[in-house]
Amino acid sequence: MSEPVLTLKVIRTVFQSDDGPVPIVDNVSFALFPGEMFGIVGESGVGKTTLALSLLNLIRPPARVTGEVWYRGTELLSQPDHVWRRFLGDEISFIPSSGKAALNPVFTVGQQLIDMIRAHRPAGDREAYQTSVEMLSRVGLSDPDRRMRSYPHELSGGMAQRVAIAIALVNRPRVVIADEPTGGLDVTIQAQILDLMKELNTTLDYSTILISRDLGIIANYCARVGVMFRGRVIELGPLTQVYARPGHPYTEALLEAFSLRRERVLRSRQATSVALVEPPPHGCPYEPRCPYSTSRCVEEDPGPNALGPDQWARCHYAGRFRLAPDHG
Amino acid sequence: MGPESRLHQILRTLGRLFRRRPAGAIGLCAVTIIAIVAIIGVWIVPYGPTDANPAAQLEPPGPSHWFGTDVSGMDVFSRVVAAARNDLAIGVAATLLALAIGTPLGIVSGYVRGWHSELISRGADILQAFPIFILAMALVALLGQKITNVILVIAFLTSPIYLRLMRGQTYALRQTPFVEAGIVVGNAPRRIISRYIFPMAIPPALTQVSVNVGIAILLTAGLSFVGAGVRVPTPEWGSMISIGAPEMITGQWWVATFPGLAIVVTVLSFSLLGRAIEFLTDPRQR
Amino acid sequence: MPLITVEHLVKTFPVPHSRDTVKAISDITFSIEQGETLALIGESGSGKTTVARCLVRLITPDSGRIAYRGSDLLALRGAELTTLRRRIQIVFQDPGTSLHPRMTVRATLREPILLWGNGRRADARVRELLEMVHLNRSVIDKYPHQLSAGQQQQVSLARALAAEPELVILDEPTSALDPNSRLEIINLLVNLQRSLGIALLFISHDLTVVRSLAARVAVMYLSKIVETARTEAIFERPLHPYSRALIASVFPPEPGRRRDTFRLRGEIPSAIDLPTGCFLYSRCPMGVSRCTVAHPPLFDIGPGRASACYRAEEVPPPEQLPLHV
Repeated sequence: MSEPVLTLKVIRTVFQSDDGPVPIVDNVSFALFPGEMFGIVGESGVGKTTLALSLLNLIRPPARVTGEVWYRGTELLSQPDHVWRRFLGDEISFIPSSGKAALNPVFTVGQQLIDMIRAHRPAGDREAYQTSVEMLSRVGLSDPDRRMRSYPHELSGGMAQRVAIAIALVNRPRVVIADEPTGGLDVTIQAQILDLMKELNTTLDYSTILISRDLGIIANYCARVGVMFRGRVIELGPLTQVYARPGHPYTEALLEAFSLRRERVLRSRQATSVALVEPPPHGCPYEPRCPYSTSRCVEEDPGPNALGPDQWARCHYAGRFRLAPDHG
Repeated sequence: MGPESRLHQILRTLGRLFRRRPAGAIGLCAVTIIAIVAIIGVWIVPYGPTDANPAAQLEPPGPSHWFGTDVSGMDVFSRVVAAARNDLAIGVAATLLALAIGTPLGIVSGYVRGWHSELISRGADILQAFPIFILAMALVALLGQKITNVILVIAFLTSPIYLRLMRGQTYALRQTPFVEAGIVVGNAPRRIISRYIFPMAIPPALTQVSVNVGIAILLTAGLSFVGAGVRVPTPEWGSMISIGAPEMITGQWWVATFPGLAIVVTVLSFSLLGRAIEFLTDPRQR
Repeated sequence: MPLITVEHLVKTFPVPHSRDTVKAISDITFSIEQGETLALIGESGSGKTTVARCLVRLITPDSGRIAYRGSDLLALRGAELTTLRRRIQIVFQDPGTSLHPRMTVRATLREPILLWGNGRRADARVRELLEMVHLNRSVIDKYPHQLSAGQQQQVSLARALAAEPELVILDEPTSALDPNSRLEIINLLVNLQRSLGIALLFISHDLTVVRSLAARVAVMYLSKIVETARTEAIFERPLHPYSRALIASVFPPEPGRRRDTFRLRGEIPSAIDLPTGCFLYSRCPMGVSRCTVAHPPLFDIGPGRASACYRAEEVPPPEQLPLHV
């Protein structure tokens, strides 16, 4: 395995609420390797977007991010804003969920692309224009010269998303964080955009963190996956292994619920209107919903237990929970 | 533990109001005080509001006349308090009447599309396009300067506000899924309007009502100031300012200033009350 | 006789602030048998919601016929229309805005019971309905904002069932739900189909969900039906490039599956200015010159199958694609 291009260590993002500090991202650590598409999957509200924002220096006080983010030998979280600005948009960039919402409505596509280029290096008018047009063509937009002069509201959702991708990639970043980049788009367009992202990931040789709620999208495009629950990554490993034999009961439940397999549909009477039961204070956060939980789960918060050289799960019975004796 | 008593619920709601919308809470208190003054004021003032006493004319504020006296020797304080009743009555009555006129017209024209609703809407637009004060003067002059006419005229001229508001609300609500669901389930249009549309559309109108009482009071005062509204010697803040205006130049500031302050405080209080109403009718605040 | 017959339905909408019009649905023809579940599949702009709204008479089509047990639904007015209203009910997509915010669950469910059923038994019937949709009685006095999205949808479904309909239209009932709630609703619908024998018109863009629920499928694209078939048949061998592309863009969460790369090109064209030939031509990987002449009609191409593509037989089946790394 080559050296990781990005390493996260114990990332914790704490927000202030009426009831005190709440960790939205709680102790997340993983590594991102060159050229890969790494998926982060989880239900709504689990903290995926907050995690992305934490990696992009977009979390503002009174919320705080602690931990370490190592990018090519530099620890980023301890850096002041002006250092971040050098990296963001240049070596680390972001593809948002909605291109239409993220683009500035009063500037043309061309202006926004050129701005992105010039934010990081001096470029003459002609050079900046050419680079931009080429990028628009690369992301599959026909008639790129015309697109340069278009305003965001003139674009369809799919086209706006392609523009957002172009802006994210124009400076040839090494790490791209894509936060549900196809949410809200029609499925046929979604498939086209995801294919594009996969293809560019390979031809332009960068690493992508692909965040999604859709287990199928992750399965189709990512080689490795991290599963999030309540702000933590509770399982991580090669996609084929995690999906074929989940090491954590939550992963198993998520896969079954998502796939709507007929047998599962027919025998399911799982309590879905689970009010937010507070997890035991020192125990596993999944315990209240876990069909395999034991007393150990109530008392002790599991750390990552290895299931193989690159796979782990935060469960006392990782990989063998189906066999765990049921103590209630 | 049993369910909360009504009183407890009310107190709890008021508590939330005070914490989250202090301005609204102030408005509520102020309006309550003003209302009490308006209702019982006349019985507790030291002098009769129309008791003229030429010997005591234009006395500055002092221990026997807290706000001084005017040119006819009438006690300004007693008159200001007595006028509260008139001004408030006109303001509240006119506004409620405007609401009563504008709301049904607005709802009907928002619910049923077609040329009738367009006509009603355009009619309201035209009415609103006229300078309200001039039109008010003309109409009161036409009908006669009595309090009831002032109320009717102001109600008529301010009703387009409610018509427009309710029309817009109705139109928007008509297209929401829950209203459509109510229609598909089989409810008759009358029930859709009364049970679905009206309760959901009315809260912004109620907020508006509060602010409008202030506007109605200002209109009344303005009309009386130019002599087109309530007649002297009926105590009314606007006409009191009118009487007191010439005295300002000669240094007897108190005759016009106190009624003026009364208007400011009252209009401001109703405006702040609007915020309280907005908060209290917002289902998200529960 | 089919429960519902729709023939040559057309509906056009004006575009705000301009003289243009959009043909939301054109020449839509299909039928639903008693107790059958038909799925209407399509992406945004396909017209599927417009079809639903015509069926419940929230909007009136420009032309065409809708028959309920043979009688013309569109000709009905007033009391007759109201009586028929109960037979066709609908559940909307957004659970948050489908219930009256100031009515408790009890009040919401009592309404149709009082309108159509036995008023004296109302409370008992409310309890029955809640049980039918797998909701705990504790929700009975709650307001919609106190319920989860999944529960709100369950209440909407109970309301629809309270009128004792023969057809329930479900307009994307699960797209706003998380995977668990989605599972619960689908499970519920599968059971209700069996126990009540009602017909369902299930509108969705989510093929996975459709597969669990529907016996037959009609695929719509830009105002037209482009293919109809039995559900399993269309998944095994779609006979229209659009259906094919839809199937290829559904990713089951199965590792190691061969990636299906049948894709459409470019963007969905504007519905205001539709081309003369096949609407899919600009995006279709299989388009030929014949496709530009006129929009292909829906031909029968087998038992219970129809497709609006001249090259229907040549659509590559899903399995035969090479493994893509």
